[in-house]
Amino acid sequence: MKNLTIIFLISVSILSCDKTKRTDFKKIILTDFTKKKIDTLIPHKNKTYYSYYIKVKGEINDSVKIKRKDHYDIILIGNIDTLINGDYYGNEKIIWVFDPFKATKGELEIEYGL
Amino acid sequence: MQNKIYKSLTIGILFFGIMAFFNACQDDEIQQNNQQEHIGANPNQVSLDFFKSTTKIQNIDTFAKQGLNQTQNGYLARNSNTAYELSDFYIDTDVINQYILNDQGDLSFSFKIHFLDDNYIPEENYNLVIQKDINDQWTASIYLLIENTDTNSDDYFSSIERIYHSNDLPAGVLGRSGSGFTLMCGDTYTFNCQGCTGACDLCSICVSVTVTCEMIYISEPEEHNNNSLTDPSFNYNGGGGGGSSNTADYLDDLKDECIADIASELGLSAEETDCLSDNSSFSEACGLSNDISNYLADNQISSNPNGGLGFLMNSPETEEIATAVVNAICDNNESNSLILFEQDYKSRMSVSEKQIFESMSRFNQLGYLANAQKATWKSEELFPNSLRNGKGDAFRHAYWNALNVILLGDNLAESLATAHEDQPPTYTYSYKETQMDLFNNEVGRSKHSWFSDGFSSLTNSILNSITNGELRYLSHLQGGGSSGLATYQSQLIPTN
Repeated sequence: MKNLTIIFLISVSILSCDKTKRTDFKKIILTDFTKKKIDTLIPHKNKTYYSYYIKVKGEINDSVKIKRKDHYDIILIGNIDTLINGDYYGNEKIIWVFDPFKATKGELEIEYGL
Repeated sequence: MQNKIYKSLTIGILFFGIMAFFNACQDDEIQQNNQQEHIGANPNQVSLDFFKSTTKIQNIDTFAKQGLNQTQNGYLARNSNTAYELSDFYIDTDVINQYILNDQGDLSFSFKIHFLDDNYIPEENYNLVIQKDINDQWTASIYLLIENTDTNSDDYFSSIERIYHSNDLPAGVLGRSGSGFTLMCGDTYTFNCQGCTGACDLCSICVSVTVTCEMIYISEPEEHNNNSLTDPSFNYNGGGGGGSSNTADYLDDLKDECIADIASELGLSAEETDCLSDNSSFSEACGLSNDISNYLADNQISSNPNGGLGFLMNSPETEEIATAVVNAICDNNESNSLILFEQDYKSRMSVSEKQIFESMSRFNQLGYLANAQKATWKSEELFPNSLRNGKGDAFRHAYWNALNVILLGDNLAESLATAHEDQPPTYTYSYKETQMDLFNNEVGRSKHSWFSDGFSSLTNSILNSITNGELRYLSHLQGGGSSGLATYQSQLIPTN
């Protein structure tokens, strides 16, 4: 219980002091295909935006779903090297959902930004 | 007992942790609250429909501007050097702040307004405030708020000035009807809004007024002239006809600048620079001369200097685009903002759009990109809260297409804009966005002759089409705001 409390407090202090919470760019490497990962891009104030994009590169043993919240699923399979993008003008947050779907193994390098 | 103490201690630590979490995450919120501070009342964002039903003012544009024309002949001194034409501003109705002024429930409504003068000063903000006077009549006031450039000061505005009130004449305009002695009453305002950042509506709660009068001599005012509204260096001829070779001169100037850049880079002497100017190898060195010749020929500028294109080339908005294009050609390096934008924009072109784009001359390619960039900036400036499926989106598409017709011709402009929409759907109702974009694109293309249509700029022409409801935007957006994804209820509705 004591250890749990200490871990909790450390996590809280790290999370709450996270200066990257307003971010319009992320790069992650996905190797854990056991659970969904959700991440949000938040536009900077007073910055002009024209588009959003997501680059996915790597290899997986089956299919994954990548989805921009409220938009259609994008299903990617096997050996992947793709770029998806669209118009974006800085009015809203963009929430990305990375769903392992049928994939259980592999490595994906995902870069997404505004 | 020990267990109890341990348990209480754990709960205490957890409680402390949770409080620490909330406290540490409140930076943005605290800042926002300060920004919205208003003595005696808090702002409340309301819709245009609410404003209309409360005030019975159906057309805010007409209401705010009619008094200006009657009382001041349409003009108001901004400062000692320049003048604004008060009828020439746009009222942003996307964000309306309502304030409850007192216990009796008296209200004021404040709007952000934009003067459609390309010579505007970025630090200047204008608010239009609608509130009732002592006779229970709705009145309009315009306030000029100048942002503080002193970083050591806590005050967001260095000065706040009421420049217009519909019930009286502002001090700077009194006596303009003639010369001689007159009783001039000046209002001295004390503002209690220090530290607010634009949310304060400058209503009677935070402004107290002292009136002082004195006899002063007023000189005959100088005759107003349209040219004073534009950049003198730009030599705009608003008189109809009489367009000169300004376009060619302007492009020649840009060519000279380009040669100067090359000469500087190569360390050429003055004689060598002159030689380069006269030499046909200039086009190889810069890639500009042929493009300009082709451009002029393609668009018949030289043979038709009085046409819409000739005039638009003389407007600051297109001058800026032409400069960006020429600079990009001359620079031709990756740090140029247009070249950077090109990489971004090209990656999201549809296949068909890309095919057309690749077949265009370099000058036209960069012109097309600069138009898109300019349209984005302009819509951000005028409609920051409705850029997706709202009025800002409608403006962007119409403005972008009008610029494209002017610079590329009707056929190419239509092909490119239509091809741009040729994208696979990204969500269930994205087809509604496409319908909206195609509609506004088409209206925008019909607005390229803004000068012969009687407007002082392309921006004014497109804004007029918004006011008249010629453009369309989507209703019932996700989240209920003026910007967002389309929903199953969304319909294309006129912009007025």
